[in-house]
Amino acid sequence: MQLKALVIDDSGVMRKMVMKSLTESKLAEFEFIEAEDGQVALDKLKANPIDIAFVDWNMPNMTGIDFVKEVRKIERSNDDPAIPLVMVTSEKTMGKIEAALDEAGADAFISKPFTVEELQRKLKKCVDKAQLIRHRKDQANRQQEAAPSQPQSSGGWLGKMFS
Amino acid sequence: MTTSATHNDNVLPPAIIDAVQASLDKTYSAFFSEKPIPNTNGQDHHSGPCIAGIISFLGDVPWSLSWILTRETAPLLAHKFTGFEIAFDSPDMGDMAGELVNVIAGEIVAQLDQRRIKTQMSLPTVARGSPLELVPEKGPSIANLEYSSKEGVFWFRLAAAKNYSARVPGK
Repeated sequence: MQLKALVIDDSGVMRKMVMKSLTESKLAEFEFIEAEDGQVALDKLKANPIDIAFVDWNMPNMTGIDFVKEVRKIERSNDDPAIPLVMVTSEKTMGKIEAALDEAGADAFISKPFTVEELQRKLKKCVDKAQLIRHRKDQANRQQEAAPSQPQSSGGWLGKMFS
Repeated sequence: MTTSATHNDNVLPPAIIDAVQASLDKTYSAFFSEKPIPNTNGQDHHSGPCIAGIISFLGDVPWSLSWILTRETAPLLAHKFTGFEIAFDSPDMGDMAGELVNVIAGEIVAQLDQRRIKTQMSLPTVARGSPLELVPEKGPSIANLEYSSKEGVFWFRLAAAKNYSARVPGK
C-alpha cells in the first residue's frame, strides 16, 4: 500500500533528507508531496488526500505546532480520523517537546540529526496507523461504489475539510 | 572569513562557551562519527570564500552563533550530513549551512537549560562572502573557536553584549 506523505520544511535540503531517509527505512512505500511552510501545506491538503505528514517545528509564516493544531481542529470539526502527524525538530529540551506535542496533538517526533534506524524504530506505529486509516477509507470507498444508489460523498474528509 | 574583532576578552560567559563545546561534540559525533579537535593556536581568519549559518539566542543572555565553513570544508560536511552532493555555490548549500547551525543550536538550548540559562533560538540565516566579513555590533564580546576535523577546518564565532554577562549563572 502506497502512502501519501506530506513533508513540510522551509529547507529544501531537509525535505530531501527526510524523503531519502523515509524511502531507505522501507517502513512503507511513500508518494511524497512537499511544502515549504505550514500555510502552503494546508493549501496542498485541499488538493491531496494525505495519509501521514512530517512537519518541521521552526518555520516562517506558520510554525509546525500551529500547523498541527489547525489540522486537528479541522479533523475534529468534520469528525474525521486523525492522520499521523510527526514533528521533525532540532529542539532537544524534552519537557518542552513533550508539552508542545501534547498540546498540539502530534503523534510523535524525531530529533535532528536522525538515522534510518531511528526512523524505523520511532515511526512504525505512526506508519501502521496511517495504513489502517487508509485501509478503512479504501474499504468505505469500495462499499460506496458497490452501492450506487447511496448518496455519494462530497470528496472524503479532506473535501469536507475545505468545502 | 575575517572579523573586525577576534579576541576573547573573557567577558563572554564561560557557561555559553562550555555549552557550545558540549553541543558540538555531541552533534558532530552523531552526524559525522568523530569529535572535532579545537585548534588552540588556530588562525582567526580565512581569506577564501566562506559560508556561515547564523543563529541568534534570546533570553538570559542575548548572543549569536555563526558556524563558518570554507569552500573546501562545506561540500564535504554537506555530503556527510545529507547523503548527497551539494555544490558550494548552490542555493542548497545555503539550506545546508542553515540547517547545520539550526541543529547545533537546538542542542545548545538544551545544554544551557541544564546550566540554568533560559534561552530561545531564532530561525537561522545564512551569509556568504569571499572573504566573508562579519562585522560586530558596537561593543560586543566575541570568541572565535577554530576546529579541525576529517572534513576540514571550520570556525564558530560567538558574540554577546557585554552588559548582560553578569546575570549568567556560572559566570
